[in-house]
Amino acid sequence: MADLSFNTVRTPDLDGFSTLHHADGLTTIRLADPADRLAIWCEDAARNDVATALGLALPDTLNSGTDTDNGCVLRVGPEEYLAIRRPARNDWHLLEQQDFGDKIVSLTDVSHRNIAFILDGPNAAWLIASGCPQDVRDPAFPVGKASRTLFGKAEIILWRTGHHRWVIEIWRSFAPYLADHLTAALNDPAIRRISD
Amino acid sequence: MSDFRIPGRGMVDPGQPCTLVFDGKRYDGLAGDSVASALLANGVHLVGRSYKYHRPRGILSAGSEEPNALIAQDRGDGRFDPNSRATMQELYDGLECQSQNRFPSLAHDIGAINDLAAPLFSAGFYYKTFMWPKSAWRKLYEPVIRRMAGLGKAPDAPDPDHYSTRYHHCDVLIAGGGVAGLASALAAADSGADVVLCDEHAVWGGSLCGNQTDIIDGLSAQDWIAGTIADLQSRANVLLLPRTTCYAYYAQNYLGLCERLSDHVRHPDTTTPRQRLWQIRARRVILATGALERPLVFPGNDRPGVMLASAARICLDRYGVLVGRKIVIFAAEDSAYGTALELASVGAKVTIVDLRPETAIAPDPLHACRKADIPVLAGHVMTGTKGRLRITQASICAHQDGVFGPERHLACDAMLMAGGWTPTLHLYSQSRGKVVWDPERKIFIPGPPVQDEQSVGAARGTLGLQDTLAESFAAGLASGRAAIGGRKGRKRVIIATETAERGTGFLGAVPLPHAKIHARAFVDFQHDVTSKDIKLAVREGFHSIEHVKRYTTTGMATDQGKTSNMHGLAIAAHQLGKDIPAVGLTTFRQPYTPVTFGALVGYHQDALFDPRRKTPTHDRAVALGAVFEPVGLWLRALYFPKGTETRHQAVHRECLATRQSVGLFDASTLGKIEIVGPDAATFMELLYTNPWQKLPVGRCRYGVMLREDGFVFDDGVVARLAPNRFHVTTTTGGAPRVLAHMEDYLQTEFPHLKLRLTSTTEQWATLAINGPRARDVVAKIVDDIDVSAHALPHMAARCGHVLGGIPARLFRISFTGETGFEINVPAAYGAALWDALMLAGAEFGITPYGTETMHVLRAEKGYIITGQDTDGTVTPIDAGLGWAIGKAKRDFVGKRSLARPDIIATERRKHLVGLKTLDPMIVLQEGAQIVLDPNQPIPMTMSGHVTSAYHSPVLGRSIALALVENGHNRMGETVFIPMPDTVIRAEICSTVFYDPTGERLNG
Repeated sequence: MADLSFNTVRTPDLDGFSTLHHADGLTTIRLADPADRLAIWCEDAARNDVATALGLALPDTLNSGTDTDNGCVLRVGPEEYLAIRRPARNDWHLLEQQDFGDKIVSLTDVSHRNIAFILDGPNAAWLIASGCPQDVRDPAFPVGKASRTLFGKAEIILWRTGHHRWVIEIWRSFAPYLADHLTAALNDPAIRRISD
Repeated sequence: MSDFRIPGRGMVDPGQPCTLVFDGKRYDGLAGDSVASALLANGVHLVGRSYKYHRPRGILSAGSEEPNALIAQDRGDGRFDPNSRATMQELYDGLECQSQNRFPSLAHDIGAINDLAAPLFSAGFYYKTFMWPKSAWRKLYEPVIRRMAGLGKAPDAPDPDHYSTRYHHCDVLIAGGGVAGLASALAAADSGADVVLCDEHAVWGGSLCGNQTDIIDGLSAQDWIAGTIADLQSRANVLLLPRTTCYAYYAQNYLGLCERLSDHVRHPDTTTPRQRLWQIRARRVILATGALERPLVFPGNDRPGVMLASAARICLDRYGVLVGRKIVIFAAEDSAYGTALELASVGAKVTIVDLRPETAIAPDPLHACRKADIPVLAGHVMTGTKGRLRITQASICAHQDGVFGPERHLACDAMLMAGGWTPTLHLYSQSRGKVVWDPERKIFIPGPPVQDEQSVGAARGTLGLQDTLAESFAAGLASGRAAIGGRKGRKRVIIATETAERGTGFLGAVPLPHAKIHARAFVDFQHDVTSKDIKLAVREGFHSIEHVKRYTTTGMATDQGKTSNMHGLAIAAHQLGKDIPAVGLTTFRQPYTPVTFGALVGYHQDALFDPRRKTPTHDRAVALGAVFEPVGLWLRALYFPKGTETRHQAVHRECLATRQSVGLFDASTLGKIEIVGPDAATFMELLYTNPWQKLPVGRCRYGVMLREDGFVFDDGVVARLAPNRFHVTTTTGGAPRVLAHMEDYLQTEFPHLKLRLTSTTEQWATLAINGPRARDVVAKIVDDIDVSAHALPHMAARCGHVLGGIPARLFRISFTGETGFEINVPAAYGAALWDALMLAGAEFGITPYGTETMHVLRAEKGYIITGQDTDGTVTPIDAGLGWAIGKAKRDFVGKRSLARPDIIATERRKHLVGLKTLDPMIVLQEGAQIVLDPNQPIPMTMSGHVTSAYHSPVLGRSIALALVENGHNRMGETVFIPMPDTVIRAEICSTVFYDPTGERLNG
């Protein structure tokens, strides 16, 4: 009866959201496609168990992400990971039933908790610096780094997936705020410095 | 061309005339002028009235330290700025501004009567005078003083401008774009470091901007500066920020900068920001903030036409403006001699009056001046000035060792003061550095660095140009290399020569013959503090400089005493017979100069003030015409009016519909936390008062959470989904702090427990279906969950599917006292679930209801709302939740506090009780105070207050919840609620007003 292909990205306030372009024509902001997301807590001793259950490797380095065709895993805390998979298959909630015995493992389906924006282009880093206090220069924030941080008054996970490409993961109800904030920042002529 | 413009001088553009309108009068200026320089070019010195005495005041400086020349600027459409410094405001064509603090006009100001009454207005005047009668303070003294006092008018319309904020990280941040800053930037850039160089002015070069006589590296200072800027601009690793004030130095090399983007533009693009706030984290900081020239403290030193020598020099070099034709320079150090030569070279008639004996004057500049026919009167002191709205005469007399010669008078149209140079230590001091007194140069200089910074040039007391360049190059190179750990760059050696080097100058009030010591010599121009005021404060017992400052208000105006603090300190020290460092220095605080609120707010205005969180079914509520209320950051539907219904009518209908058939409520905003791990139940036992170990999988329990002090912190229903998995719900507003509270205990008190916490608030859309027909509705949309009363009793929890395959968590719980279900589906399916329930419930007249109806229905059942019926001082026993405490539990957060004597003495505590007004139609006011005896004398003993009060449609009367002293033992007693016009009587009763046996709940 229900349409299961329902676009899980949309919230009411983002219905009108289309790709934003900066005046330079080179930098764009767009909504990412729907994804499966799994919030993972896992002690080091259980990393292999979780990786096996998930079918994805967990990154070794803190604040880094692995990126494969089958999905990606961001290590955003010593024991804390966020797995993301596109296209969504809507079955990660089944992993919640997996038994890991006496180990510290917590798997929770949060596919719908987050929404993601993709920022693309040579001015993307400067755009991010309008709201995020982290150092987004090389080498402080190299490609592959992922970090839980702030954008304006909202918590985000910032993930650099390419030299000029960034992903912002944000809780669903904060997404319109982030979109508005980025739109406002696009009007700041400071974002014209094009890095190499 | 204006009278005082010198063709061929300055960095203004003669090809671009600009009109200035000041107090309604038009003046001609040029592009590149400041408002102040344009006025001076037209011979206008009188620009304002002082704060206290309303004395005529002129332009003192050429920079941001300006105390006098404050203007109000109206750029239209609500763009109104009071207290702009005319010396900093760049001129654009058609700029309109007004003087402040005068009525009816600048030349004729009735407030100047204060000046005649000056003997009355001594230091501490307000504290001494307006004390009696006490009642007059509020109604008479304060309003009148407030109207007269203050600087400028506050804008009265919303600011239509945009402001932007940027975070930035760099290797070397250099504050100050004078020669020291430029040299530092060059060397730091050589090292390969990322460099940011900022300066508050629009042009670079600081005090040497436009200077054509000092020589750097074989070029005039002006040309060297231009070449250096071109060099820096060409480098990819240098960010130049002109018009940018570094106003704050915080911890760990975190600095605040405010950039003015369009304040100098006549028709700015209104879609782009007006100002931009930079928050910069720098690996190394170089403070090249220069020095501020001090005035000299002598009688009549505040008359229009009396200004700083450096200001006159900048007017000539940068703006091509001569500040007067007949100029007297009152000097206490040598750099004024260079200025004298420059002024004379363009035709001014200059006389130098030097406080020092001739032997103390550097011979070369002295010689050069005499050779240029500039009279130098060494060993003379200024004893007074004349001229009503502009100086016309200076009075001087010779002095030596306390012996004074006869007074002489010099006609003049401008007087320059060269009192010496005070290093600009503000940012260093803000970095928590401790300044050090240098007795040789009689200045405070930066002490050891506390953060990764260093000061260069005049900011650290270096006087000569050559020394400044040398140390700046060295500092830039060292800072750049240290920041990036490299060896790139080279040592630069540059030769520089200047006409006259800066000297140490003079501190305090100048010596005066006895007949003159009662004349007013101003220390703080903006707050009208004289040397006498400071001496009086010391005599009256204020011996700390912090107390002197607050008593006299010296240094407390918008300029923060930039030109006055050192003199004030020196006068106080002299009066106390102490050394200056023994008296101390007041603290430098952020910001260095005023920052607009707009810049500080940045993007966070209007829609971006705070995130406005909306639930997944928000648009469904909008479509039904719901009225919303903010709850924390969330917007929640308050009620759903139909047609012309009032709020009361809508709530009445929603309540009855839910009690009689079925209601639909959006509960998505409730906080949700997933607690997972082998020790999840153990952790739950510790965080909640209730027992959890034996709660079966598939069951829910209402949980109460306490703080360490035993008071109720939050509550909510918790479902056990698996032996090691709990689905916790919290109040809407409590979601973040409950998660933080749990994390805190997990990480600090119970780190051995094996479980982890995940916020799932936004994963789920949650809809509550309540009412006698709720089951009929829910049964239609579930796929694989048996919702019959037998299979799904009250407080059961099931995972399954709804709507043909959507995973769901379904709880049989109720916050209304009716048969109730809460269905959680992944957020994006929330709207589909809403639509399906509305369709399925149509035959039963399903009624969406808002938070107000939810409040009424729960109050009818005596269900509390934490934060409304509790206030952080209510124990579970007080709240009637003693049943929720696991008596057999060994420990939980707050357990020990519940054994405290004051908590056990239950008859002395306030208990949550029900109240029924004797008149059933009167709804009490929430927050109203309760007394036991209405006839007791005022002030009465307050014995409690109303926490919740509503009209109950199903009961046809009002109900209320209240915290009343010993209320549990007062059932049936009458209490009194005094209101402004009446006293309401109410009877204490049970908190459960409706269906006390719970038949409906379990049906």
